[in-house]
Amino acid sequence: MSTSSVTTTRTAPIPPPEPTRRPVVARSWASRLSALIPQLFLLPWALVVAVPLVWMLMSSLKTNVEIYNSPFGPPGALRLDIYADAWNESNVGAFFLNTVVVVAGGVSLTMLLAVMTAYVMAKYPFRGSRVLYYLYLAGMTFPVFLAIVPLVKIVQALGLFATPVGLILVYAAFSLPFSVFFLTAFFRALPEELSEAAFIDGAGHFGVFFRIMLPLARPGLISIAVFNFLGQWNQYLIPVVLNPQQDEERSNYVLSQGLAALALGENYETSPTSMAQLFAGLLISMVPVLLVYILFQRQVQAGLTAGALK
Amino acid sequence: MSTLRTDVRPARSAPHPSSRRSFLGLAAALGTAGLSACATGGAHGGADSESSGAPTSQDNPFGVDGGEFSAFVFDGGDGVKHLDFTQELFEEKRPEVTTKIVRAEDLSTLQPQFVNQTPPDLFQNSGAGSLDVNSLATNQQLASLDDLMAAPSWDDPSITVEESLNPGVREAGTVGDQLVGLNTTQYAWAIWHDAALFADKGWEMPRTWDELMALSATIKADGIYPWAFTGMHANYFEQGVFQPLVAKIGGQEVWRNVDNLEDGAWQQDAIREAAEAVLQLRTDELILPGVAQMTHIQSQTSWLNHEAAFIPVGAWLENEMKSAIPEGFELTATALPAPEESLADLTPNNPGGGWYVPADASNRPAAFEFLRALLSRESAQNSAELTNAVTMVKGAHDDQELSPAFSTITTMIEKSNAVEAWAPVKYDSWYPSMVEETRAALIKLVLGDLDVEGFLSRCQKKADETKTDDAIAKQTR
Amino acid sequence: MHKRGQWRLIVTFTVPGLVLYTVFVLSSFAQGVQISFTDWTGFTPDLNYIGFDNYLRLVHDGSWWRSVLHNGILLVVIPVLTLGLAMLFASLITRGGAGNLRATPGGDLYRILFFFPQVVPVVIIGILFSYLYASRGGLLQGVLDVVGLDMLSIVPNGPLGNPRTILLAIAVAAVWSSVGFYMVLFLSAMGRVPDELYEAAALDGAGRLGSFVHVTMPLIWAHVQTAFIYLAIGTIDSFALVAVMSQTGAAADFGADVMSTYLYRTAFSLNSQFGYAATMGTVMMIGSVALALVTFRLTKREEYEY
Repeated sequence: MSTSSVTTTRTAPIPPPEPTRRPVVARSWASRLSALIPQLFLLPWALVVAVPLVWMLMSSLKTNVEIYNSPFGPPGALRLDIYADAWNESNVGAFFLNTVVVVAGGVSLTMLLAVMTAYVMAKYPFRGSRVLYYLYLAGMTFPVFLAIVPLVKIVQALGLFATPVGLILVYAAFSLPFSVFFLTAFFRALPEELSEAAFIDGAGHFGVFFRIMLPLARPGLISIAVFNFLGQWNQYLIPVVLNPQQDEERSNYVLSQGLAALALGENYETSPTSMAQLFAGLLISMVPVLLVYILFQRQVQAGLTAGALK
Repeated sequence: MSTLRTDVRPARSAPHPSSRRSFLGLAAALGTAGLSACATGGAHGGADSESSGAPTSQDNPFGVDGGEFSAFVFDGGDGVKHLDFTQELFEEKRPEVTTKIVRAEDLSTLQPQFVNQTPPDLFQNSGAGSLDVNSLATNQQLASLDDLMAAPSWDDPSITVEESLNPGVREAGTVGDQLVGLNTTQYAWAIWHDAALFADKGWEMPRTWDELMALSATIKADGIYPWAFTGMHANYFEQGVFQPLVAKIGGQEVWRNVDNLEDGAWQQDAIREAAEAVLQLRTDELILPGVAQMTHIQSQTSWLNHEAAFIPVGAWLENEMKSAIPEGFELTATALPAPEESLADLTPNNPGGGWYVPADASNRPAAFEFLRALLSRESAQNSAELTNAVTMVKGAHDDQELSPAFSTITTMIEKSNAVEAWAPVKYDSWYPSMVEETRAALIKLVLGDLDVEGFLSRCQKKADETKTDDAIAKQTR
Repeated sequence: MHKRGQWRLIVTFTVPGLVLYTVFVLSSFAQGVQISFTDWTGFTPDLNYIGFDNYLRLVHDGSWWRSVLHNGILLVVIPVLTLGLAMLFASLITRGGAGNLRATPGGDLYRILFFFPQVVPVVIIGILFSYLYASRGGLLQGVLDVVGLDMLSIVPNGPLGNPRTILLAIAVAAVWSSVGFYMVLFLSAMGRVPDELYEAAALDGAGRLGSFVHVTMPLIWAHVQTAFIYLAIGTIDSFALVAVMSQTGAAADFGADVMSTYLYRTAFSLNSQFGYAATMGTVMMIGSVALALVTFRLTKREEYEY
């Protein structure tokens, strides 16, 4: 992928026996030309995706008046202090830490429960396991909207309203269907031979799971964990409902809530750089997500295929 | 400063502030509302349940007897500072009461407290997640404020609280036949223009509709669009232009007929004439293009940029745009021009920012006493100073010197009241499913492709449906 | 085979998850259905059952059917555009789906960049696109300026102010945000197709298009199916984007009102009809399940093992 000459040779089709010899130069030119065709489609979309990102970046340095009057012009000055204001004044720092706590707990719990459930469903089919499987499958098709009303009542009854623990439990519960579904497919695809061998060596059921199957399933686990991370990091509806404001600083908010509050507060606030603080906060909140994705993108891609419906 | 807006717009008669903001609170409300579907039932404290307390006296008309007092207010961002003063005033007189004022960004957390019958003693219903007061009142979950209105006023014991207020408070706070809301802030719509620009161009703010149309042609010829408004929040044009225009053509009883769902109410001549008049704004191309997808902030910024000459906004405009008002810009509020000059000064103005006392409040005397303090002259002046809000306290702002824009508002309201009292139009809050249809039709008439006939029949059809729908509780005035 | 100790593992492994799932997910949905049979306002402690009244009312509710229609349009437009673009980009990056063997220059970069919108919160995407469509200073107008066109004369009142365009304008934002995710999904599926198949196809004289149609598509069909169901359910549930971009909805004559936004207004704005709103939610749930089942049936193709 590094240089076009390398690519040209690599893209050349596995040569079928060629009846007539063509001049090497001409073939390479044609290849080069056809190598450009994908770029004709890919580059414009890259722009479509990148321009809003750049726009947010620029807007995070502009005053409200600048944003309104020339939304796509450059900022009048390099106002880096806006990022400090966003972190401190707009309390994005606190939102960030809350989110880290909740998402770390949420993803861990999701993965723990989902892996166990999926493993049983894939490798220990029992009477009723199919029912259980469809019960989880159905959870993926329910509109969250219907559940949200009684959910608050349940969480309140457990005394977990507006607490990180409450959010963690609910995040995990609502992530289970997706995770169980994908991981079951993944475990099913794992070969039997190794576990058979371990059983013969006298390993117990738990031993086989922890020593053989779990390490084998690692790519799938990483991929599902990353998707749960992405989903839970940006989760909006559930925290808005279960984690309402507890004090003036909104110190219990997670990022999505805090940013939305800043975004919607726009209609009211008159600080001259309140919009920029919003965008700064937004960019801050996107950094971990982008990092996680970039670091794990290979595994994400590899793990994804396991979950196709069959 | 954002408090002004919250004070000034009664949540229910101007549903959009909540719908704008509510996006935040919406899901919160959605969730919290469900909380206690099955909580224990119990007798509702009726509107006139007695509360035991200290004996009442001229000085302590509600028999405040210590205890805890909790109030819940919406905080739009500035901490509702003017209440600090009221709290001091209150605590000075009733030191035995422990006062707690919760300032929240979203009122929807109150909803479960109602379901659990543990509401605060007092709450201000405005801003995000504001509650459906009509439902609360129908469920007997709000206390009657008659005793408060009949008590001696804070500053002058020889007159009652009600007598110390400008007219309209009782009408605005009544649901059914019961007074449940205390609307302390004057909430007025205006047509705004930049007096500096007008002076510069030699234009004069018109008083009649014909003058307005003539000047509009001049303005347009000068390269400025006469009108801007937000299309995203359709109530601005409805409440700021259409409702007063109809009232100025056919009198305020036209809206009373609509509110009461009288047969053919939307086919009344005044509504037809007003529809024809606003349609002309479209056909003469007098409206800034693109307003349909502008938010209030965007349309107001356009107007501040002199892209348009007039904009219908409430009295809160100056506060909302504070950081964006250009140097030398003279914000000036006036009433909408009228076909007949005699009604030129009439403008929609009615009390808003409603305070409510739940029927289950544990310390009702303190709640009433706090409201009495809130309606003191000093408290009113303090709130005007901090938030530019005109309160309902009679004469409180006569000698207050605030911003020039603020003066144009008080003058406008004074002139309007000299013509006649504005009777709040109620269908906006009574029949929300009807109003969303009529607003959509109105925007389509002014900005889209609907004709007058189509507009009228669409509104009438929805009104007829509303009338025959048993699931919608009917009210009359 | 190794039956001994099996039940201990089954119970230890499935019960905790099932408890959590039942307490928070299943019971919530069950109670939502329960509320749909009441006229609850959301304020009172008691539930008053009214049988199927809410459901009958829904059948005759014009606003409901309008929002169902809008959801239906989105259900076609969003998956077709999203999956179409995702498939196009995935096959361009891999040259007709042939894994990394013949990858396109910059493929890794595209893969990371295209995924980016997926990490932007939906609320912010809504705000972002509202700015893009703005008549003054908006990006769309900026692009049109280059060729000397006026957006407002092409689309009167602007994309978000016009009942005929608002739904499409919102769909575009939805597509923008999800193409990357599905592209990665398809890339991953294509990566698992054995190279030998392409070599064989090439031997048979198939070009890129030919091998895409005859080799890639059949082999990744299961993923297309999964993707469609995901997107379809997401579309039925879509709320934030519509709520942010259409605000009160009146400006564009509710041209983008969908089931979830109507449900929300019913519960809070329109006279606190909480029970009625729950009815809408229940119907949406039934619709989602039905849709998933129908998709399974309709897209059932011969399975290829590889």
